[in-house]
Amino acid sequence: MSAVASQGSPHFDSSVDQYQIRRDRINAVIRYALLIAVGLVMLYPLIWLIGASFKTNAEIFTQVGFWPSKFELEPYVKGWKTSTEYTFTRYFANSFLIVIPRIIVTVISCVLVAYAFARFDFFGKKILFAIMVATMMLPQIVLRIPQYIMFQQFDMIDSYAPLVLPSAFATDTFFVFMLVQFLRGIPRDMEEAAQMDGCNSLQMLWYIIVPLLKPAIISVIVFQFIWTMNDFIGPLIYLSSVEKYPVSLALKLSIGATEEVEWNSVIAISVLALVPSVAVFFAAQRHFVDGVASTGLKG
Amino acid sequence: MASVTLNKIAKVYPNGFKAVHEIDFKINDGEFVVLVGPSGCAKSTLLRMVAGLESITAGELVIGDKVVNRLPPKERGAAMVFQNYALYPHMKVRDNLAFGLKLQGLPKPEVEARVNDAARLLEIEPLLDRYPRQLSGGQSQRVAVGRAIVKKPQVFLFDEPLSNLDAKLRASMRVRITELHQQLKTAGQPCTVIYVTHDQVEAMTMGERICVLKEGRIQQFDTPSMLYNEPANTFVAGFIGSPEMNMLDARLTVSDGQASAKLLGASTSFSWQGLSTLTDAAVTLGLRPENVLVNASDATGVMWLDSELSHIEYMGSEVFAYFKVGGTAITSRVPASQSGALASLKRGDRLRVGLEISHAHWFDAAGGFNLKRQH
Ligand SMILES: Nc1ncnc2c1ncn2[C@@H]1O[C@H](COP(=O)(O)OP(=O)(O)OP(=O)(O)O)[C@@H](O)[C@H]1O
Ligand SMILES: [Mg+2]
Repeated sequence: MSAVASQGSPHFDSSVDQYQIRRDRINAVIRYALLIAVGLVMLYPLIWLIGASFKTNAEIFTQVGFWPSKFELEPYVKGWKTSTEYTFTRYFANSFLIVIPRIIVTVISCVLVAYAFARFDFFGKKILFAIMVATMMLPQIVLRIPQYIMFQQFDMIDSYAPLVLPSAFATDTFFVFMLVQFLRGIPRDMEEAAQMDGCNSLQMLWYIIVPLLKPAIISVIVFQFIWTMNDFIGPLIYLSSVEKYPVSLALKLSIGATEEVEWNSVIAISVLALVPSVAVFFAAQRHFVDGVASTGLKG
Repeated sequence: MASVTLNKIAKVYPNGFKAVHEIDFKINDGEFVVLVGPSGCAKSTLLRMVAGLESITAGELVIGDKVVNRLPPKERGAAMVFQNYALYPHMKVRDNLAFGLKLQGLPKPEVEARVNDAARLLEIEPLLDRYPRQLSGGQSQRVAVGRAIVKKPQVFLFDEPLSNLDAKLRASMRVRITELHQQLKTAGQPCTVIYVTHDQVEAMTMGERICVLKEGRIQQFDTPSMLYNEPANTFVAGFIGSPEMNMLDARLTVSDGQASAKLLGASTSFSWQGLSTLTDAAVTLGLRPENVLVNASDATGVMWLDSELSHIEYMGSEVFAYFKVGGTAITSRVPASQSGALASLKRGDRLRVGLEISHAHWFDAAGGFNLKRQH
């Protein structure tokens, strides 16, 4: 009797399997087709941008397709040179002169403040935290004028200080908030063990908290990099001499500089301006996604 | 190498909950003491106060001959093993062990020597270059112990270190930790151990002395055999021993070294050592399951009663039998070799069971305290 059963069931199973597999496959095809279609729609401007960067100026406005008839490197060469006295090498360097110090001070200040909020008890902690979160709701515009006047009085206009300095005081409250949430998800046992091992608060921060916070810190770096790299209003307000312009401003400059805009060059430089952000994102992707998705530890 | 003394230690949590009520005890230098009690009885709280991870609300904590109430953990000379090990996930086992030593600023060769010694002792040498996530539960546990050993602390604190392990591993780690304590003692590095558990078997097998806690109060602080043979009250009597001690309502009259008791609708008389004089007092009679006989014998001082079998558990070398006498449940524990008549019985069958009254513990019905200990 058992023989009959064991003969019967595999046959039965395999037919179910066949049916199941076929259905799964059809489902997968439909799903992927849909995803690819939506993905293409969303990526189309970017694809067009990259294609157009190799076209001649005339072709951009005459041909509909994004595939250039001939790959021209000239737009890149020309765009890089710019119509100003500096090349884009200078502007990229300027961008990094803003971005890198800003990231460093952001990480240091935000981690310190988040550590305080997440792990210490002090007078008025709840209210202070609420105020800090509330400033997240404040539109940036509201702060521009008072900030401008302040930096003017400090005589810091037309330097990078107004772009970097605020971040040194953990004013990027979104990051503080994110780090606090992440820290709250980390069990305190390890810190207690470290306390038994003789750590003081700062050693604890450096040897225990920072390594555990690594995914969240990488998220902070990626966000800050992309946001600062793309920031236009900030440099526009505070920087007046062209030699200090970052990429975002220089790009605008190349549009307004001459009578006839060389769109292919503008587009070529736009493509290049995207490269650092995209590169940073992909380099950090694994940790970054980790940090956004999970605010805890694997057991 | 230090004694630990608690003088009227109390703990009130910030939310106003009083977790520890004025606790007093002294743990001698090199002693292995177990804190045991049901969940929520403040074992961890007490241990963490000794460690310095929790503030002390009132009282005085002395380690060695120093009052350490206000000292930070690292200056108390204690090392702790946590329930979930709390290894640093981003450091290799070697660095986990060495971390505390490096912070102390010990020279490198010294650190290495200590780490290697501890690794040898705990047989974790092959694991030194792994990360904690690459370890099994038992291995992590040994690393956690190693992290405490390398510091050569005066006091070892364990907070339920075995509760995440399976039964078999738990049993072997139990032996290992006890051996380790002996080993360190013979190696001239004796250490005081405070070990927290909610498992009475662990407590009984490991502790040189055991402190039984309930709701932040000490119930009894004694050797395992004293706890078993002379429980201070009904709580200790019920907590220690498995299956649980039988607790029966009785009325007791005592005078001139003679006592008579009425229970379960019968009465018996026997000789009484102790000073109390009682007249028909309401008491609780505690009788360990091994003192409930199932094979008729003519031993003296045994009270035979009619009972009805509820069910039987075969534990291998022993048999647990559950009876009903009138409406009262009674448990008996007999060696399998002597289970005799039980084997052929089934639920509802009648049998005479014998209560060895001479082995009974007598407790005050209202207060729960042991009448014979209250001289
Ligand atoms: N931070 C806290 N605030 C208020 N009450 C607390 C706090 N921590 C613990 N308690 C309470 O103090 C009592 C003792 O807690 P503790 O953790 O010491 O128990 P335990 O004996 O270790 O129990 P378990 O065996 O479950 O670990 C419990 O009633 C608990 O609810
Ligand atoms: Mg506990």
